[in-house]
Amino acid sequence: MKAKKTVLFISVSVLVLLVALPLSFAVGSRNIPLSDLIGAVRGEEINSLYFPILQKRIVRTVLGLIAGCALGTAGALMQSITRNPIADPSILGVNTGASFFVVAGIAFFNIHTSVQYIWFALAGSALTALLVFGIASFVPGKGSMSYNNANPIRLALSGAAVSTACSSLISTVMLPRTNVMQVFRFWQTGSIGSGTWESIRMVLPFLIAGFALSVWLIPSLNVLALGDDIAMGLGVKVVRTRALGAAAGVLLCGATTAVAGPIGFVGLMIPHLVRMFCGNDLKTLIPLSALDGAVLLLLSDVLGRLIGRPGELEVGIVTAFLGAPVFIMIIRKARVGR
Amino acid sequence: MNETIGVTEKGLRSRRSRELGVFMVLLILWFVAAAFLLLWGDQVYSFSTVLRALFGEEVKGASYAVNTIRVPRVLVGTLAGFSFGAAGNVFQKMLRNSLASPDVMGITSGASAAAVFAMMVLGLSGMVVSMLALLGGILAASVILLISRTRTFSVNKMILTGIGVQAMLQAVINFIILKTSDYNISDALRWLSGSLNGVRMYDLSLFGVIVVVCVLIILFLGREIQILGLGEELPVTLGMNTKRSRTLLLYCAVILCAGTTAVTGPLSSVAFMSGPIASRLIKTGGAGTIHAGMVGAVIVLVSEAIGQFAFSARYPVGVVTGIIGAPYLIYLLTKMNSKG
Repeated sequence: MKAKKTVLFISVSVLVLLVALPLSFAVGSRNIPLSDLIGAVRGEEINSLYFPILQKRIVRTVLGLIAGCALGTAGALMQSITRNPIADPSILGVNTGASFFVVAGIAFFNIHTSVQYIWFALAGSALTALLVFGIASFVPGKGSMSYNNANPIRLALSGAAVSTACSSLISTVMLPRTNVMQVFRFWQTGSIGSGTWESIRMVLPFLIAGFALSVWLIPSLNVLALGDDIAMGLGVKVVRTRALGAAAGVLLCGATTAVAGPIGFVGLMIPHLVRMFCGNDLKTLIPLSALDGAVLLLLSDVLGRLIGRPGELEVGIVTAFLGAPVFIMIIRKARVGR
Repeated sequence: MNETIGVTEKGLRSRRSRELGVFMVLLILWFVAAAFLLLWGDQVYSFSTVLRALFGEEVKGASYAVNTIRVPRVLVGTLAGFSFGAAGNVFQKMLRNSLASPDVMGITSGASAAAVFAMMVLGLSGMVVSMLALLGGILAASVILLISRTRTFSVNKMILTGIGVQAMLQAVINFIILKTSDYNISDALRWLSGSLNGVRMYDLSLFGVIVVVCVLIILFLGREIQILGLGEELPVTLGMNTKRSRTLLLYCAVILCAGTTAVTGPLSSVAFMSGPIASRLIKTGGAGTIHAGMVGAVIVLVSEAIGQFAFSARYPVGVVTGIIGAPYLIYLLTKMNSKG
């Protein structure tokens, strides 16, 4: 029964992806007719007007696919290692952390190349994730930190608090400097429109490392889902698994934020959707979250280009609009205490 | 029996005197901050010059600076701080959770989003923007209340719903800022964090009325806030129409918040800091509306002074309150953890 559902789910996902791909090439402030697209695939000369547009859209689509995969996987990882249904880079404040580091880097350390941006964004997201999770699970007096303390409400509020702090700090850094303000606008809203092959090449190693690590961790994470005591009894190194999982998650969403800016809620929505149809097994959850993350991001981007004509609506805004209601729905079902 | 009454009376007396003492201290602090903001600036005036200017005497230079720039700033700052403090306190007391304040729950961002939309997209200015911001705040609050109305009312779910709604509104704000032309953006950002720069006497008219009316209603219902804070069942047992009182109070607080946001911007964290600080000062029984409001006013004026004069660059007051507020929020969170 379950297997049948899973197969159906995968086929539908792939089908939607196959529809989304040509749409992403064709739709925009200037549409490219389908006939020209097919011609281009066949290797025929296409209208020289469309050529540069198509080139840009191919980069954009590739970046969208990669970013979606990374965000979906990161969401599934974070939700499973924190055992928290709302764990997501945007809720954990990772995005504002990355923005803050980049803005501070531009203002104080004179960074200006994309490699430097990536390193700063990665450091920012890693530190923020640690800080938020630390605050959520810290219990004064006991002197011990336990992830069990971090229930959804603490996690969300810690994320909100750290985000507030980061955005205040960003304002402090930025208000006296108008040149930073320009760059900052990019860091406020995620978009895959301004990616280049170079920037994709730059983050690819980080993303591949993140994917590899998460695939390698799947068996231990699956055992971890049974509870810490059982996992320990079965010979899983609980702390190490969790730390590595967190590292993979941060690599994935930090690198994505570095090229595409903060794109929220993809990591939140997709694992829930996949779980609804295919169950909790991480062997299916992680790959399918990657697949459907890419589908969702691509569709959101196409949607943003359709709605925002003649300009475009950045994909980060579209996903926030799709994701916030889903977030609220998840909360309604979650156990958060009175 | 008489002994019990005696003890209670003694407790009440000591509480009243403590309340009065705290109030006087807050008043003095407010006065010092206000006087500082009136005297200090690009030009430093003597106390007597400021007094003469205040009483309508024409003093060259000083009259304009004091009456047109500094007095409105102090008055609007005071009212804004008071109304955020009072509104936050109503939320926190009634929902019995210090995190349940309008700025954490996204009500101020509803007002901000509406205001930014009105200014940047519709190109409006002045009173219309304020009215739209007010409507935006009320709308956001209604949506949050409506969504979180489940069979069993849960404050935590309400807060989380607020965070979700806030994420959406923030996306709207970011989008508008992203699309606006370059020389507007500085304005928009400054305004988003909350600022007293450029407030004038005429800003006070509608805003002042809103604050006074809402604060009066809240003060009038002060006892009901306390009773509502007792829990879900007890107020009903005591014969109270909890639904009506709660809705009325919440909307008064929402209107206060949204109306203030429309004039000064969100002034992050003032709403959620003031109540707990005031309660800490009074110790037993928690603080009432007036004390929370006074704490808010003092925070805003002191932050304004810090933002204006402490650094080489001038920072709007909202940035300063945000930086003060975030560690405090984190402190509250860890404390909440220790309670379990």
